[in-house]
Amino acid sequence: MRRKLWFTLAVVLQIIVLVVMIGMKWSTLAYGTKILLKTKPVDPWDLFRGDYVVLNYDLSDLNLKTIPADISDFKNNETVYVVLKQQGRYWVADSVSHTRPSGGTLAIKGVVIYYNSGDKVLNLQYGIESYFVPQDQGRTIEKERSSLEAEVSVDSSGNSALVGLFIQGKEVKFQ
Amino acid sequence: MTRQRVPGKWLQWLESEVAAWRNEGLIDDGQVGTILNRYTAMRENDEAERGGKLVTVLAVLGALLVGVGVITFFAANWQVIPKWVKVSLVFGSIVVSYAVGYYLAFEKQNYPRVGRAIIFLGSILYGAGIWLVAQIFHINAHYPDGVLFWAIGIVPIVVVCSSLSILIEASLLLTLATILEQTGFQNSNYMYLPLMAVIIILSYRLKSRLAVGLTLPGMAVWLAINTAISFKSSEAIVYIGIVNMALGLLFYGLGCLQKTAERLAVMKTPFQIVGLLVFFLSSFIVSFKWFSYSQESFIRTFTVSPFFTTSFSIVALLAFGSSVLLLRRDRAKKESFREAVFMLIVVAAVSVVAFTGFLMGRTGFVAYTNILLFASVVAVIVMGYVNKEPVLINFGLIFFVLDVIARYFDFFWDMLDKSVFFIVGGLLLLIGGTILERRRRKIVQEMKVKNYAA
Repeated sequence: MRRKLWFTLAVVLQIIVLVVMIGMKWSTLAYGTKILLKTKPVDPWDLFRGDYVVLNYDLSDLNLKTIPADISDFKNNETVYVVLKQQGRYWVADSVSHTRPSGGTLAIKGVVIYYNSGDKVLNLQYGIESYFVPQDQGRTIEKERSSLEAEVSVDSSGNSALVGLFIQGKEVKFQ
Repeated sequence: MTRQRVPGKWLQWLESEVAAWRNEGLIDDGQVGTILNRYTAMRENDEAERGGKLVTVLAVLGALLVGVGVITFFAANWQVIPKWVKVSLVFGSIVVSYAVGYYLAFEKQNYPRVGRAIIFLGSILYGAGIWLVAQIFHINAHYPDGVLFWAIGIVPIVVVCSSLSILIEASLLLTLATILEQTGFQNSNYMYLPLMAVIIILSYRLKSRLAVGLTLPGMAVWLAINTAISFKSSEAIVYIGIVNMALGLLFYGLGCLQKTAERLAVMKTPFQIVGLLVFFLSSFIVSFKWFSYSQESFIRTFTVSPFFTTSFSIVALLAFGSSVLLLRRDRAKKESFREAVFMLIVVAAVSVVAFTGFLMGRTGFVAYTNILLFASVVAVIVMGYVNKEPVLINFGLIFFVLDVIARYFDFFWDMLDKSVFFIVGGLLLLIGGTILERRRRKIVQEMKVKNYAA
């Protein structure tokens, strides 16, 4: 009887791990602010890897000569917050901060991949760079990459989740 | 008196010998029956156990195939399935596998091996679930964490079910997670150490030498990658070799120590084998003369990394400490004395090259590392013969041959015409290999016979 109880708890632990994974993303999708981001074309050899599409954004490479940052020193794998503002249809970077902005400002959390202090270019990743697609469907997206838009949900903690992809305003769906 | 297990071939030999003794009138029919009955039970048990192990292997393979089939089915029809159905399928398959497996193995107990295999399937489906959930919700998190959560998530099942297959799965996943973390993100991942300790403790609890043997190399890999990261250069390979030489000696010393404690003696084998493998492989790599150039340029251009200095010091001190402890605990036994002295000398020799190698010059460094390797190989062979341990002789001879081949290439590649090089090398291998193998078999057979007679 005791073994059965412990075994059940062990299985429940595994289910909890999966539920937490889903919960974190679901809460960002359900309660976050929906924004539209313009994707940047990437090297076509890198765009399609296996069964997912690599996405790159204007937010991925920030030119700190034009975008202000609180401190001009960045370490690899460091977490930073990019404050966003809306320009027309899209949301773009307004400033970069090492601490989470307060006062309800919309900011997306990113990880520093590389900072080129000479050119003052900050390369970031936000966890929204891959979109999983059915096998062999990535080519459709690749052909339209110049007009590809991504709808992303950003919550109050800066966590982000991909909602969907759009080509010329129409959501990409797979059959 | 505890009965030793005897190999099947020996039993066949015994049967033919007993028949010959009867024909020569040395024993009568009654005595033939008595002798053969004494050992027949062991053979039958052996066969039953082999049959049982075969069922386990087949069941585990079957479970793996089912797991792969399930994953493939989901992948082929994924795009037409709604998100909530996908999530339900993932959760459902995990829960059903575990429930059915537990029922068969522990409740009904009529198909225990099949039940355990289905529980193993459940652990595979849990791992697949992590990647499928990431795919469904486009989660781009730090990917080594997925492997880590898989490994950690299945450990409680190991504890509850005493499942060796899942323990080995957890051990391999943990090693994979640390390799991904260290190589993909240049992260030292010190959390690997306590997690590896948990796996080792569980391996002891399950008395599994295989699980220990598969987990220990992970430590060598962790140490090697961290040393490479700390130097930030591929030329650090000589330091990777040196620190792992110390680690190999530590493992070997821990194996020797455990031999002196009755409860732990069964675990000496994986520690000794992995220790010797890590030590000899590392010394073999460091012995190549190419590394004398890289080591010299390293000291001139860079500083030795604090990680290397600290980790080497700790490992070497522990190895030294284990040999001192072995001397104090078991000094009466000549076997332990030899092992302790061997370790003390080699640890000291490795420490000398670790801290003063750059002062030796190229020729000095090459000579020192080669003498160290050759002397260690000879010492291990001699120790194996005197201590009656075939595994030491086998190890020593393998690395003796590798050393000879490597030195032949190192020194004669540029000197001889290539055709002459290969002809002479091939002949040396053929003749030398045959002589060595005959000698090795004779020594090992003599030792087995003496052991059995005792």
